[in-house]
Amino acid sequence: MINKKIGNWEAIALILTVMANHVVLNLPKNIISSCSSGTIVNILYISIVALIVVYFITKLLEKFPSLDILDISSFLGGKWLKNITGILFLGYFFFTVSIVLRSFSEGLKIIFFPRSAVPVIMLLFLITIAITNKIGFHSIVRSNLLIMPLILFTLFFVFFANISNFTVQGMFPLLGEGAYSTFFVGLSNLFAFSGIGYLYFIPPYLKDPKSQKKISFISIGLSGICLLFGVGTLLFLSPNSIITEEIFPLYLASRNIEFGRFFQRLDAVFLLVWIMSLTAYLSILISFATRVFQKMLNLQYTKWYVPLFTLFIFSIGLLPNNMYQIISLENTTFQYIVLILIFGISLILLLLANVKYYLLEKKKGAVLIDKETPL
Amino acid sequence: MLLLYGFDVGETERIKVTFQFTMPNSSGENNAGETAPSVIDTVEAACIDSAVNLVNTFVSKEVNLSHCKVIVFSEEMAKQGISKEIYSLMNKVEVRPDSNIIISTGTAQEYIESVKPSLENLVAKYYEILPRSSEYTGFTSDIQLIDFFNKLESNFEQPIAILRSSCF
Repeated sequence: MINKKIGNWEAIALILTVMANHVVLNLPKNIISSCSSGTIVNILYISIVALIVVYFITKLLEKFPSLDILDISSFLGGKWLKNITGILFLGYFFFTVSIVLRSFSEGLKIIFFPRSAVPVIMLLFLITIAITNKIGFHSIVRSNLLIMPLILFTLFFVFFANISNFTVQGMFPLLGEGAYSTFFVGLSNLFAFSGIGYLYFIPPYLKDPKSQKKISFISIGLSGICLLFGVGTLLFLSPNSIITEEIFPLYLASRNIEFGRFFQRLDAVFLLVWIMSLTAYLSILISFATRVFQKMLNLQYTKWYVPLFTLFIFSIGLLPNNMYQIISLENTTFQYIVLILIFGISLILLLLANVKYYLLEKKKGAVLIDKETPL
Repeated sequence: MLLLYGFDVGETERIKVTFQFTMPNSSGENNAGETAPSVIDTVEAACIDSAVNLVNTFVSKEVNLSHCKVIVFSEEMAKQGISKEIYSLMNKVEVRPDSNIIISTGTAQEYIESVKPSLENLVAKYYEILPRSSEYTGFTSDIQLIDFFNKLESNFEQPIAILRSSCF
């Protein structure tokens, strides 16, 4: 059982951190490159679709209170299915951490440390992540809750402080390259809401399992708003041709902010907040990965293999040879992994588990879910 | 510290780049009341990066573009087209998007050499304040690199820059 549970706001911040960090990285740029001026309409559209998906997920999770996707897989197909699901999610967590870490480190190197080696920057992050994971999940989530208002403030501040530099015509034509591109091809941008994946894992952590629905809707709604502001900043500020070529386009947007002669060059402050936020996000990902590993192998302690995980992530992160490969992994591979795993396999598992639940209920009159399963 | 970039059409290479640096510690207390000295260096190269690399080979400190406040193009160069240079500048993380763009009627080198601020000791401060005069006079405008670039890329606007005479 999980001894220390998390509150509603901590859970909301936990899911929101996924979107906030990806907005700071290259997510808005990727969406703009696929939808051009139709991005605003596309974001509104995929936000509505994401909320509908969240509604279904919460409905499907209702029958399995305080159980995560691994427990539900175990209920559906036994240990084998649980292990397969665990391996898939482990792969997803490792891939995400490695690529996000490498991408951010490359960006930091370009901006601030041109003479430092990328592995050194990555190692500094990984050491911090290993230490935070040793301290525990609860401390990470609480730290994340403290950092979240700051990062949200920076995202909104970059938008509002740049209003004088905006060219709102950047959002026209509203449908970009056409309705087909915005609504059909653009549906793949649903991967932006990869935070939905954490809805499958947080039920055992919640102090109040009944508030899961509320947490899910608030966090995904806020994620949509974050994305809209991030995309709006870039779309109104610069032509598409430059946005799609830049590394850290939101950082570049922050460099335009100035208030008279005294408040200029605030970008360093933003970057500091983003570094803290990214560390919290990566720590959360590793924490979930260790949890999945622990449940798969029924291990009692997690602390000894956290350093091994960080070394493994370090190795994976160094695999891409250049920035082009990293961007390609971030754009294409990450997109497919999220769409297949989070919006495909996991939803099917939930659906089938519900079908099994109803069939058993019909047969026996009641279903006993193994409450002894260690969460 | 680099204060200003100037671009002219090169004689042996594609572009002639003039750099204006402030002397280190020129704004210290000992120099109060005196006009701060600056150093002007000119190199010819095929592109901006090559020019910066060339300068880095003979100045004792690494050139840092993050304090560059003004970018000057000669009229002749502007007539030939400066989009390549603007793209290069926009892609450089060090260059501030709020740097001002000036077109000088003579060569950029002449303009830089002729700038002798009478009411300022620090040339850096002069370049900082100069475009701000658009707030109280209609004879100039505060055109920044980001504005210029956005208009260069735009389908419905034309880029404009500040026009300055190279003879004060």
